[in-house]
Amino acid sequence: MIKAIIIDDEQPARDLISHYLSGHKDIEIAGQFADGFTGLKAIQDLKPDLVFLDIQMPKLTGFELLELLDEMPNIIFTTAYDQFAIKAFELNAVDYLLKPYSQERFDQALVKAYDHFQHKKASTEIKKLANHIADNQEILDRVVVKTGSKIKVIPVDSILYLESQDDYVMIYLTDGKFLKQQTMKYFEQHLDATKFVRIHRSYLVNINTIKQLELYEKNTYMAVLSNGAKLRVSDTGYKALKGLMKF
Amino acid sequence: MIHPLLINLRNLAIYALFWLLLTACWAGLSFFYFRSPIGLAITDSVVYNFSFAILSIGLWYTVRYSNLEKLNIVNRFLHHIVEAIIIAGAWFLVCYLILRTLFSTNHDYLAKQLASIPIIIGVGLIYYTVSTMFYYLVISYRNLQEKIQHESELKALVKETELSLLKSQINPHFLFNSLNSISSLTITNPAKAQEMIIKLSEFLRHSIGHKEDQMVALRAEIDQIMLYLDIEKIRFGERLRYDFKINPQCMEFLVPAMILQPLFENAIKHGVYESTEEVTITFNCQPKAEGMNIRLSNNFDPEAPPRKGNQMGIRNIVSRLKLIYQRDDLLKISKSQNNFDLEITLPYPI
Repeated sequence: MIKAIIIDDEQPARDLISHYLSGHKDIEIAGQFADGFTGLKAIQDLKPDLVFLDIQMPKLTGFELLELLDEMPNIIFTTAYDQFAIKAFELNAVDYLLKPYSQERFDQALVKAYDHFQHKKASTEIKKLANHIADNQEILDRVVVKTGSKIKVIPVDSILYLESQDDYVMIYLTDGKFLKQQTMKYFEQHLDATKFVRIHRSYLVNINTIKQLELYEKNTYMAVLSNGAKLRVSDTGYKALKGLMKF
Repeated sequence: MIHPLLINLRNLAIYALFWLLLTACWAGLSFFYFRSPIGLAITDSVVYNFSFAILSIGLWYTVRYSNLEKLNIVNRFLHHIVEAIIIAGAWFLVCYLILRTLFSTNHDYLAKQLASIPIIIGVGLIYYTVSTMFYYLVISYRNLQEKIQHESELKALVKETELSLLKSQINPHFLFNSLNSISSLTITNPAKAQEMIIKLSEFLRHSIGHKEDQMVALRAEIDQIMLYLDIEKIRFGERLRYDFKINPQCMEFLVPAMILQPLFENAIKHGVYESTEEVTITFNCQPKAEGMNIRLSNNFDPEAPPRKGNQMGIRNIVSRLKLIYQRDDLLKISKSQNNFDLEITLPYPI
């Protein structure tokens, strides 16, 4: 028996999936959830084999939910938005169903899911869809982190700076810091480049929090932030700052 | 309006140069033609011309004044004739008194002065006319510039509004999600599916058909919004509630087409999309002396992390209101912990 859950904030959308699944006797629906938080908890508790996941939802989006999981489940995205296909493909999703979709298209996705249960491989269908869409780099407006069992949603404007720590990034706020498994390069690409500057190999700084630049040694500067933190600025970092802040 | 000569040093310098030239001409004329002694000719010219140069600066204000008062043409003409005679007369009198103290012993010269009163007054009238006409020219030039600038601003605004209106007409995600709901309802509740298809069709027909410069009765706008809310209600169920309180007098009031729809979309986007709790949209409409008062508010999840809501919808409405009513104070926004309030005053159609 294959255990599946449905996460979608709209009742009719959930009804449709359960109806499409009714012909597949080997799949049982272990639960239906209407927002990102309860969906996340359900994946952790129920450990489903297959997740039907909407993207635009209250509390947490489908992508934010996945970021918080240690292990990637088999995901079939169901959404009205086509612009997230590339990201779905990168996440090695089983399939990406564009609302509204037919029973045939839905069954195709399930065939891929069976395939996935044996050997994980990227769907060619998503690949095709992804290639159709220009690579529009999505700019983050919030970042989700896990602290113990709690989930914190951080608006990017409240981030002071980020520090790289091997495979992790430490996110510093005025009232604490949070570790996230992600690369600096990712944040450099997905945070608003007019606000966040890579001032050093290890630091990505929100320029609105920089209070002043102090001359440290000959030709090296330290950035003093609003919370008093002092960060080394590299040569390239200094040039980037100069270009952006126009001093 | 600022004085065109006192606005900067350059204009003042040009003005001074012009009067110096005039002074030289006057002095030259009395020296070569009337055979006055050189000292006398220069002093005489300086007194007359410099005094008028200063007087003429002040004339600006009388022109401005009569312009502002919007006198009719006859009154304005009379006003200027009387003013011209008084000024020319006073000017001569003052200059004559100065010259008399300077050349108190030169009786011959003073007698000549008195003999040439008509000529000097005539010159004064010409000076007055030229100065006044110059100022009128400045004013009309400035008005023209202002008008041109205003017009180009307005044109840009119209373009921008048209563009964003086109963009905001039908949200494709709304459409696709609604179609998905219908797809689901065909199985679970065919009758409701049919009802929803009809509502969606009516909604689309109206959205596509309207012209943005049209004025429609509030009743028509409300009908359209009801269709929209009914469709969204099928998607969101109990999460979406609405409460309309409309004074019957308001129903036939003329409002710009599609002015309210984007605000409801906004309320749903920031309220219902981001909340798992019930969100109530309240709509209140009351007649006012100046027109009609509309209040639209929705609660939202205060815990919902801030999303960069693009304020396109609201900005679009503000610029449309400005375009239609020439006022930018008609829409007021206030936001509390968990409530978003919009207040719009719609004046009587112009």
